[in-house]
Parts: sequence; C-alpha cells; structure tokens
Amino acid sequence: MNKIFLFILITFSLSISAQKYVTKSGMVKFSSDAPLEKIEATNNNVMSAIDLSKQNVVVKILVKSFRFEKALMEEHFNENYMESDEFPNSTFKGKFIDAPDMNSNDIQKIKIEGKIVMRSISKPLVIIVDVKIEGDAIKIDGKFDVKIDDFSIGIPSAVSGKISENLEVFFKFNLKAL
Amino acid sequence: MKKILAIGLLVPVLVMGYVYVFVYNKSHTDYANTDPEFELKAETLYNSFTDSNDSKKYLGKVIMISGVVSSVESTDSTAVVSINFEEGMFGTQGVRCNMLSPYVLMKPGTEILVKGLCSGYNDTDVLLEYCTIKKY
Repeated sequence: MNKIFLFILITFSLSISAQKYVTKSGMVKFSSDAPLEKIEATNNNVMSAIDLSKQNVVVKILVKSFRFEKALMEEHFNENYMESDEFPNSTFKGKFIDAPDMNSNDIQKIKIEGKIVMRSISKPLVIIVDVKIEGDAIKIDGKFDVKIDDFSIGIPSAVSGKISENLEVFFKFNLKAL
Repeated sequence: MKKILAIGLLVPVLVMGYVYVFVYNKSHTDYANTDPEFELKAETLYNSFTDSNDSKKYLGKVIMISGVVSSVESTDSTAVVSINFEEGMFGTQGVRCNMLSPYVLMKPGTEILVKGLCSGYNDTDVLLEYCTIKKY
C-alpha cells in the first residue's frame, strides 16, 4: 500500500514540476572594438523562453530597444544599419543538445544549436552557454560573435574604419518557472 | 587681411564645434518632458499590434495610455508595470511599461495613465520605455 502511495506521489510531483521557463527582461549587449571608437549597446527587454520537455530555447529581441551612450549612434543603428522599422525583431530558436541537470547547483556548460534570424536573414549558431539552476529559476549566460557581413548590413566606407567586422554579443537571462 | 584670415579660421572651428556638440554628441530625447502624440487605451494599443495593421503610427512615438495595472516587477535596472490582456504560450501578454524611476509603489488593480516611448511588439508584449506615471 505504501509503495503504491509513494509511486503516485512521485508521478504526481514529476508531472507538476515546471517545464516552461520565461523571462521578459533578459539582457543582450553587443560591442564592437574598432580602432577609432568603441561602440556598445545594451537591451534589457529581451524575451526568452525554455521548454524543457522539448529542450527548446527561444530568444526574441526588439531591435529598437537597444540603448547606446550616444543618441546619434542609436539613430544610425536603427535607421541605417538594422532598419528596425522594417525588421523590428531579431530571434534565436534552438535546442539544448544535452538537457540541463535540474538537481545540480553547479554551473553547467551546455551546448545549444539553433538559428539566429536578423533582418530576415537566417544563420546557424552553435554556442556553449553557462547554465545555473537556482531554485525555480534557470540562469543562462554566454557570448558569441556575429559577423556583420553575414546579415548584409551595409556599412558606408566613411565609417567602416570605426566599426569592426565582428560584433561580440553577450547575454544574460534569468528565466523563472511559469 | 588678418581679419579675413581670422574669420576664415574661426568659421570652420565654430562649425566643427557645433557638429561635435549638437550632432555627434547630441543628447538623448527627454521623454519625460515630451508631449504625447497619441492618447489611447492600453487595450487599443495592444490590439493595434496583434489584430490590426494600425500599429505603425505608434512606433517610435511618445504616447499616453490608460489601463489597469496587472503587475509591478523590479528588474536590475528598472521597474516594469504590466497591463495584461491575455495568456499566451509563455505566460501573460499585454503592454509592458519600463519606468524611468525604479521606485514604483503601485498595487495591481490600480487605474493608471502612463506616458512613454513605444518601441514595438515582440510577439508577446507591446513595449513602452522611459515611462512616467501621469495619474493614478
């Protein structure tokens, strides 16, 4: 009788354990370290969701929400480079290659494979992220490089010296159980 | 002759100075003191992005919306006041107002009038930034 009770209890607790994790205030920052000027922008309104049952990861970035130190840079970024009225969102959709161990308190290095879509151009992306489980939250952070050429962003020759060919992208998400 | 030379030097320096200060280093818009271009209900704004193609006129504009607060949360950098309208695959969906001040003391259920810059829609929420509360 006790065994049956235990079995039901375990099944029940497994079925109610969270599968979906979400944040709407994730951080994505990019920087370009060119000889003339450092260009940096941060977005603190990034939406990210994980569905553990399918090992899916989704990230949505509202391009207009990147903040620069200089107003002129922000203007150029939206109007000339990202054309954010036409392409308002950049996205990443991928999968965890290995499922994170939800019972571990250590930082886990986990590979994610997927596709990044910017300006309607899709490119594959494979990254290794740091995952940390804290109570009912999943913390993920990492970085990767984006080649400006890959997304046909036209940099006028007058400023091409100011912007490096690669952008370093950093991200930090604190996803809470839904 | 000297006068012409002095003016010839002064003018380019002034132009360069002007460009540096007012173009290259121009300050960010003071959204708290910008008059709203549109005043509407939060629900109308949300529906303009989700149901109709009416949203373009609000994009990048300072607007004032009215609605009932669903939740207030603090993030690392700001406070976010949400006015939600539906449940999506990943939780509530509606209008998220990123406040200029991180200190927002407001209870869910409060009716508010809030002004901010409309940055767009990320398929779950319409985002307003640099928000200030006008009435509650």
